[in-house]
Amino acid sequence: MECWRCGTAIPHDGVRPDFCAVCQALLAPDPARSHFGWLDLSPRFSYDLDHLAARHRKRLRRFHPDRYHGQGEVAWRHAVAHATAINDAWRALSDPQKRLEYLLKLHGAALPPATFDPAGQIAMDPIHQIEMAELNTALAELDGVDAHTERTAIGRQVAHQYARELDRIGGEIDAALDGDGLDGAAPIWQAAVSRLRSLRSLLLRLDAEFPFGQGAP
Amino acid sequence: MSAVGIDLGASATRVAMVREGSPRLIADEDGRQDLPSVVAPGPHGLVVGHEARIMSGAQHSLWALNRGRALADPEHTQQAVAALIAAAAERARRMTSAQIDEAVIAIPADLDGPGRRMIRAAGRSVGVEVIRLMRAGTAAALSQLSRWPAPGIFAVLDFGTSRFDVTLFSVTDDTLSVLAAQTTAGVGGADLDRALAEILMEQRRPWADLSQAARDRAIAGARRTREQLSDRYVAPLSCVLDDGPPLRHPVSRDQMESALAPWLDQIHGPCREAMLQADVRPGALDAVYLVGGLAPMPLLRTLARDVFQVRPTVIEASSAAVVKGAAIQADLMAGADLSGVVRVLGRQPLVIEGAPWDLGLESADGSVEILIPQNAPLPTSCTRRFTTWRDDQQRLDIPLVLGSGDPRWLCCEGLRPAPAGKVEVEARFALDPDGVLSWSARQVDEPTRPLAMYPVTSVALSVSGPDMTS
Repeated sequence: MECWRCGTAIPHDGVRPDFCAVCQALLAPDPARSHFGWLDLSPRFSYDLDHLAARHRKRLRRFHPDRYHGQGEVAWRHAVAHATAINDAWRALSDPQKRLEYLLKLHGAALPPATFDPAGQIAMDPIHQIEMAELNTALAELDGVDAHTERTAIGRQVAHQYARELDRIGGEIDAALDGDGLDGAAPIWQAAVSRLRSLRSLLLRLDAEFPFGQGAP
Repeated sequence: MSAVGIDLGASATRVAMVREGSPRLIADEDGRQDLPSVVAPGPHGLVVGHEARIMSGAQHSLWALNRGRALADPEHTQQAVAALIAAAAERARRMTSAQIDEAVIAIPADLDGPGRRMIRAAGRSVGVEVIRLMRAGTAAALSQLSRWPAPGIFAVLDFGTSRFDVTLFSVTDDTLSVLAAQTTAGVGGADLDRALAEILMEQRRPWADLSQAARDRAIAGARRTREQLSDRYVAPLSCVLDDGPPLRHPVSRDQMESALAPWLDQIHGPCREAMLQADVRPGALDAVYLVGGLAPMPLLRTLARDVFQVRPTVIEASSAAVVKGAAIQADLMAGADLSGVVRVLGRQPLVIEGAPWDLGLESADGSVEILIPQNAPLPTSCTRRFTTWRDDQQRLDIPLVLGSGDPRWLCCEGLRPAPAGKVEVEARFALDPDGVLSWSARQVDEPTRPLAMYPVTSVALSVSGPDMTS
């Protein structure tokens, strides 16, 4: 590939640079870059939201098309592509569950899309299946004056459990990344994702307060 | 080469420019800052502004636009908008002798995709490149940057002529990001004045008995009364009716407030919704600013304090806030150093606008899957794969959920004939920095195959699958 402005050859080992080394022109974004790459972060689970948000703003300040106004159509178009990728990475990584699933996918997991039927599609482990069935029965039996209070209590309990599971599984993923490496396709991760998805869909159904600072997912 | 900010308001169009480090409204030779947003056909083409207002049969073209949609006759609306943009740019050229060829235009928050495209095309047709479309609430927020004592979370409540906008945003190291925006049409100053006129006149003369001219006079009278009651407790309501002596009687602030309370209560809903969306609790905001023509009403201060649990600040000359914000954005995009205008943020703050709508897909059972949530930072995109469900299916209809005037379906044609489920299509939806949607599609196993993708307003049930009920 060559720089669109000065024609200098762009090195193609590893990640494509953002700018031409000679004329500093903004280059087309590298399609192979991961969401983590777009936010200039190493791929792992444990990041706090404030850190991700600060990184997102920092990257956007540099690549937002407003910064390239008046530098010509090509630079502006590339800036839109960069900023789009940065914003999409932020949306994908700011939600801990999406971040976790994305990490697994980067390491070979073939997870079905979490759409329409978020809990379905992946086989659940039997213990978790029983847990979920019990919760669902408890919810179905709610009735009378205390129904709202009990519903809120169940919501809080599920939210707590969900947050704990996320932390635990995320911690294990980070440990694998630091240790022997992560095999995203391993059955334990599939089961973990299915557990998280079912807890989350239950949370959404309960309309419970979401355990992160971001409101509903 | 310079850029201005233009506010295409429901009642008045305004133009502003940053001069000597601060945004200034540009008045005409007679010192008039507002250009009535009225366009009328004249003997030599369209007439705009003050001239158009005194002509009979004036068309209030921007009314429909400010209700979130383009007029039924899009070509007509585009001409009207183009005439107003041209008049605003021309005034700026005349009064500043600058070469004006670019503009940031403030628009109603929920203006749909076709409406946004139309404004860009209208600008281009009169030699003004629209470099950014900015939601009025965001522009109003930007204009308040110089007041902020520190980073934090702020709300701007904009009470316009035809609508109410609430915008929550956060200010941190060099960026202003929109956290939530809600808009309600039909609770603007004009709506209130009409309601007030009806209620106050009803006591003297049935509204139905009045001629249109007398009603207009009554509404104008109600507006004067309302404005006077912002800093007085009693004001006269005077109005000339069709016959009999002119009407003149005192109205107290209490009387007015109880008449308008049911209307103004409607702002609670959007404010709460915005706090929910931004995940901010009442009392947690650092400041609440009231802008727009209605902002000086004492009742609104009380309402805003009740809902946000924060003492609101009323901005003086607040109807200019929106256009001043647009002018600041224009200056920012030109790469200006704004350290004089903006105290908290760095020299070159970045405004991160949000998606105007949820972009969603409607599934067979009627539930909606959100692909891009409202107020996701712009520009943004998403991809989604679709699989054929019939043998030799060559066309795929994608049911979209977004703005009212945006396409309901996207039709993708030219798929390779194959057994059901064997062909996968990846559709990509993108929102540009102005919040305008574009789309593309490719066949996953044959990315170079040319596919046509175009919007349709409805599809026959037979092509959209056995269980699509829409």
